[in-house]
Amino acid sequence: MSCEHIPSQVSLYLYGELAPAETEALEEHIDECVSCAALIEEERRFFAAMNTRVSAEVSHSLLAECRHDLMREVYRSEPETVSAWGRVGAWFSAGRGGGLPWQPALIAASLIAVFFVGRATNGGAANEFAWHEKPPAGTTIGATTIPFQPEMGFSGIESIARDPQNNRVEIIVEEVHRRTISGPSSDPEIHSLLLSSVRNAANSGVRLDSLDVLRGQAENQDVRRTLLGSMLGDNNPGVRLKALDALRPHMADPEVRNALVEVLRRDSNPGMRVYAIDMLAVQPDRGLAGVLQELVETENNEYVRLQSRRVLQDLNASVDRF
Amino acid sequence: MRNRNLLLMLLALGLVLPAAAAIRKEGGYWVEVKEGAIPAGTRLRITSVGPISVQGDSGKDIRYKVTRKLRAAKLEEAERLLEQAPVAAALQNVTAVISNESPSCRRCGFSSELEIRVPYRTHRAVVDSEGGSLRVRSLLGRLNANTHAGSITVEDVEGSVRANTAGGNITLTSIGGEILCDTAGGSITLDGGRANATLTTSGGSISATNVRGTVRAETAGGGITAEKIAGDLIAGTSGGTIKINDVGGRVRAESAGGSVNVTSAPQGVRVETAGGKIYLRDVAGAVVAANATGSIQVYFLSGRPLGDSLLETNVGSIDVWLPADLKVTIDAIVELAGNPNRIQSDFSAIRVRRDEDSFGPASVTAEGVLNGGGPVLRILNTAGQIKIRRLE
Repeated sequence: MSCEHIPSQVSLYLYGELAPAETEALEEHIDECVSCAALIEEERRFFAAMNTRVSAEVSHSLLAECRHDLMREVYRSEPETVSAWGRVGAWFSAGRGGGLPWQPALIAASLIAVFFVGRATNGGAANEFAWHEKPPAGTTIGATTIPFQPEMGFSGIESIARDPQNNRVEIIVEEVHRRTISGPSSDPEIHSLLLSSVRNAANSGVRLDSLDVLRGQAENQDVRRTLLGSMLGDNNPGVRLKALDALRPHMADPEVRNALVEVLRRDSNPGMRVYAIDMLAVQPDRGLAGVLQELVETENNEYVRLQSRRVLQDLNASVDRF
Repeated sequence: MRNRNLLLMLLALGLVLPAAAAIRKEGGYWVEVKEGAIPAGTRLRITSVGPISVQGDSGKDIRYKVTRKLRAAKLEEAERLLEQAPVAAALQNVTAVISNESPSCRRCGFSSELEIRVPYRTHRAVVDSEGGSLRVRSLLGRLNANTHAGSITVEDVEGSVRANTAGGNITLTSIGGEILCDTAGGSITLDGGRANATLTTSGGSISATNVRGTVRAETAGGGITAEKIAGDLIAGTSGGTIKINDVGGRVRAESAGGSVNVTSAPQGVRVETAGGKIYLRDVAGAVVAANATGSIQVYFLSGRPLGDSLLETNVGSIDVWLPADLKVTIDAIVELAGNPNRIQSDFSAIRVRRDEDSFGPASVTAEGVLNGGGPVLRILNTAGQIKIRRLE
């Protein structure tokens, strides 16, 4: 390489984009050429200075403020909800003398609607609601005098009764409130909650934590099926990877092997496919040949492609599809 | 053919030492083991089709051993195929080049393994495999290791290391220079680095321990663990838990889903997760923690100044432990709160009040100045609880 080639190669070299042979040729040249070495050094300093430039970012505090302001405004300026409540109040007053037969259903529907509006404005994480306060047991809510407080939280309304004589309404509410359950992971209640949270929790952190507890229990068929479901269906790649890892000791199970084949064919995360092919390659069977031949042609991860080819060779199977 | 010409040319120039080879039958395969040596240069370039192992030592020459296997009906056919792609080893200027290609036989099941011993003073080594694991150990210079498929293991390299695999795990131990490594699927483990490290995987866990520089760790799925990092730490995962302990610089950690646990980070922490709990212990500087759902627990470090900080969740509780001597201004709010005990405080200087609004639930706010005031600690919770505790 000569001096005139250096300027056009400097940026590629500093970004590590030169081919190994070109890198080598360039380095050999600058080992012997003082002026080109100085040029590289100068460019390197410039790159370093550019890399240390502080990037402009929106203040985190401002973002948080905006999010919370928006949430507050969405919640508090629900015109439809307000007028509906006004109408509900009016109907209560009007119903003092006779009342409409469908009033209880309307009240319940309105309460539930407002509750779900509240839940939706809170990020839609319905499973995550955990309310700290609960009204004393047996509290009767007089709907005409006490404003509705959705933050009290409830999962449903069991019944509504109205006394036409004194215009009082009695609503039995099913509450949602926080509870701590502790015990060994083998405890049936805890075990069931863990399985349920792997399958249903909206919070992926909770799903990961549950998998951590369950990973040593894949001997249990329920656990194994749940792990298989997570490995194939969870939208979080971290959860899928953890489920796959927990299934590693159970490669003899045909269901696990079939699920790994599905991972190989369909999972969008290359890490998942790499782990799946590695697990299947330990004890390959000829039933895999078709899938592996397909992968040799279609897989875009080079490792998976080469491993598939290698396994096919180990199986004495054709690499190509006919 | 290209290699054979090169080999003949270099033999003529006397730059190649002859290699000894023998072919034997092992099961259904013909196995050739070839050993040789060439003079060392300051640089080394190795290209092969299978696993490569490079070991630095105090010798002056480069010694290599290639084991090649293939299936063939007869010895003559095996020899013919192997001769199609001879192993080339030569010194070109200051670069020692060893090349091992695959013969063109689609169904012969060719595989090869290359073991090399080189002077540990080699300035720069480039190790490339078209498919196979790489192991490199004990070199003073820089290393560039690439494989199209397979794991990479590097140990005791003083210079910078670039490691790239199209799939497979990367394990780095005791690296002196800057590290840049990337796998298209697999885990990355770094134990012992004396400069900055950038670790990237398209899926798999990352672990970094005992690093003196800045660590950037990014995975498209999988957990991240980092411990004893002297510089800054930037960790990001598209899904997985993040566990961090003992970071000398600033911490920035983001997860698209999974809990984040940070212990001992006195220079500032910025943590975000879409879902999962956040636990911060012994943190100081500017502390930002935000999640959409899940609890946040923060224990501030005593005797270290706080920067302007923010803790934020939509659904979940926020528990904060403040050292008694911490100079801080508190500004906390629970947006949708029924009663004032949604914010609880151990500090009499923090005033909690309920703000009524025209419609809907009230907010509960808490404000106060502790120890004369200082940076602002904002705590925002949409619909949970906030506890401000005194750290004894």
